[in-house]
Amino acid sequence: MDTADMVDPPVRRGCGSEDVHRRLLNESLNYRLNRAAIENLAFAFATGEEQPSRAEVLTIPVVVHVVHATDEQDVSEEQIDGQIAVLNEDFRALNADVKNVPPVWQGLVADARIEFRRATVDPDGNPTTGVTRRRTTARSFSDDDAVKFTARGGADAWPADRYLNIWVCRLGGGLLGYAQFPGGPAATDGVVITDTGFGTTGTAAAPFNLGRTTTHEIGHWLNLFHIGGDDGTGCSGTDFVADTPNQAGQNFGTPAFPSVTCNNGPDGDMFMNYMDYTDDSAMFMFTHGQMLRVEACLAGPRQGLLTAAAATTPADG
Amino acid sequence: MPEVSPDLFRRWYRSFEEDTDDQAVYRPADFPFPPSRASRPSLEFRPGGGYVEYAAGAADRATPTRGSWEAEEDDAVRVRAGAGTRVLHIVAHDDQVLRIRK
Repeated sequence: MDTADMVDPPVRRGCGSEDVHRRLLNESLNYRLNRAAIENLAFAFATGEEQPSRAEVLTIPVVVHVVHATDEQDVSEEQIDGQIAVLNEDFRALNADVKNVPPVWQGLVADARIEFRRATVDPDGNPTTGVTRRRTTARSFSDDDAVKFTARGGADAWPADRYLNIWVCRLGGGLLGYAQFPGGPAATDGVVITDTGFGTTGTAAAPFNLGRTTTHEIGHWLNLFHIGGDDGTGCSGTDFVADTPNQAGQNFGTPAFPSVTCNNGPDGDMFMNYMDYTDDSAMFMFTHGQMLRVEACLAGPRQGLLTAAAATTPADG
Repeated sequence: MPEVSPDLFRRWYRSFEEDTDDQAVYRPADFPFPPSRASRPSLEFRPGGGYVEYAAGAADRATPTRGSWEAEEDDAVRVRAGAGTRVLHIVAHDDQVLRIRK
């Protein structure tokens, strides 16, 4: 995300718009500085200069903000719990379909040692189900973050240093979901998932009804890039991960192994990686190299989650 | 100058599936597109001459490039986004579809 490009020049000079403009420019500069520091730390982990030191499995408290324009979009508790169950398989490499990873890459399958649980305490210290719900008049939302603000028809974020915010709403333009990388503003931190790509039941619709859209977006939230790099279909882009093969663009649908691009034969693209663009049934692994980036993320910009978890016992979490 | 009605002032998403040999078809956000992890290219006309082009970005959200639009002769609209300028020929538009000559 290049937030500098998202700054709208003020149409007319005036105190208010000038202030907003300045604030956005400053935030953009902060974002660039944050991103540079985050990538430097990821590089230190990738080269072995820094070592992962996390002993415990991290449990991340989740708040699901359901922002619905229709009763159907007001997804059920069952649909939410089904999604969290998928995350707890995918981020522990406990998913049944991990056996479908081609033998040549079985040794790369990584357990992220991260689990997810609906928050039980809200930001004010009160008991919560970890779900907020509101009716909206917006027929759909775009990727402009309106869904993340009560004043714009959505729901305000909970503190990003203690919770993973997941917004579930109807996204327009056919978009399944989007994320914010670490280092961005707390008020918009988290992932947004369209209701038809969320969980495994209810409004979830094939071929995106196995909960993998949320797995993919949380991958971004933990600082993972697309494994094809983000250079269109070129071969020079990178995900800054050593053990994912270089590949051209993203893959779609359910490719057959091997699918060779960018001279990456004989094994070809790792299209079954969660950070590709394949259908839910066709993606089922993270790699050890990707987990080094996740560990760097947890040691750096998202260390608040580790601190919060250490200060909370499972009983009162 | 093309007849620009307020219907034009929205974000239009490319509906590749509906393209014809000589027309690129765009639809509003609420059109029932097949879902995709990749954001569709889109463009947005704003009243007063603002224009935004959106391309696929790194965290599955589109990256906007801001610019301007101005009407020219017949069906032509000159758009500027980033460093580029091009002329779009708007064949037809209402609140449901935007057709641009390829």
